[in-house]
Amino acid sequence: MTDDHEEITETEESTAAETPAEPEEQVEPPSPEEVAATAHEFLTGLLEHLGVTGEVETRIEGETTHVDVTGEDLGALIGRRGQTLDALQEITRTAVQRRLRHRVRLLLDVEGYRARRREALADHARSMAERAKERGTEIEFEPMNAYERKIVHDAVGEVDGTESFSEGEEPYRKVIVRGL
Amino acid sequence: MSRELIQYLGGWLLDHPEDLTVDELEGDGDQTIYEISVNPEDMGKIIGKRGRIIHAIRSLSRVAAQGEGGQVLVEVVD
Repeated sequence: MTDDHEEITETEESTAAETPAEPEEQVEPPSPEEVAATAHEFLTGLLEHLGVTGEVETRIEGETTHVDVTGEDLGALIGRRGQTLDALQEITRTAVQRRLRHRVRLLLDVEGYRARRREALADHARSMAERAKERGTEIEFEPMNAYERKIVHDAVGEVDGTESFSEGEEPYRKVIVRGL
Repeated sequence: MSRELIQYLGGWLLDHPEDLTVDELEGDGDQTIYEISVNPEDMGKIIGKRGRIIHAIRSLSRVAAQGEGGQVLVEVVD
């Protein structure tokens, strides 16, 4: 149980993950609207330089700014297993942080890739939890980043009679689900 | 395309974007090598924690080059 709590704290922090801003540069926290406008400006210019046509939309949920890029043929921006998307998110967040001189919470999606992956991953996690429960065994998932591990923990949490925890060191840290 | 992309990113990410230079070299086959040089104070900024920023710049440079059918290699030089 303690493990679970630690895990959730850890994942929440790195979910809307932030690279630390330079402490000496910290000013008033920017509003999510400022973050959205700055991310929009950065990405619009970036798409132009990439020779990619796409729409940039932003929405604010709590303290997190969500940025969605949509368009045709954006597979290259997602990359294999979302690797290019992760790079795009990292560089967008960093660019916005440098401009606003403060940490920001920003999540980027391209063509709904993260949303789809999230659904598929949650479905998979629930069915693995059911299986672990039936067999009374442990099932180990493949290594995932903190964002994906949180999705798995949340999905397993919906299945009574199971628990999940994480093991190992980044980037090989993985979730284990156990039938109780 | 990649040179302008790197300069654009430098404008957002660096404290001294005016010191950024991007040299374009011919590599093997259809590969282009971009050698980036920045103000020493910006070295950490272009590379990022655990190399995340330079990794992202490489990923995006590949996207830009794909559109032109080429391959790219991005290196930071002192």
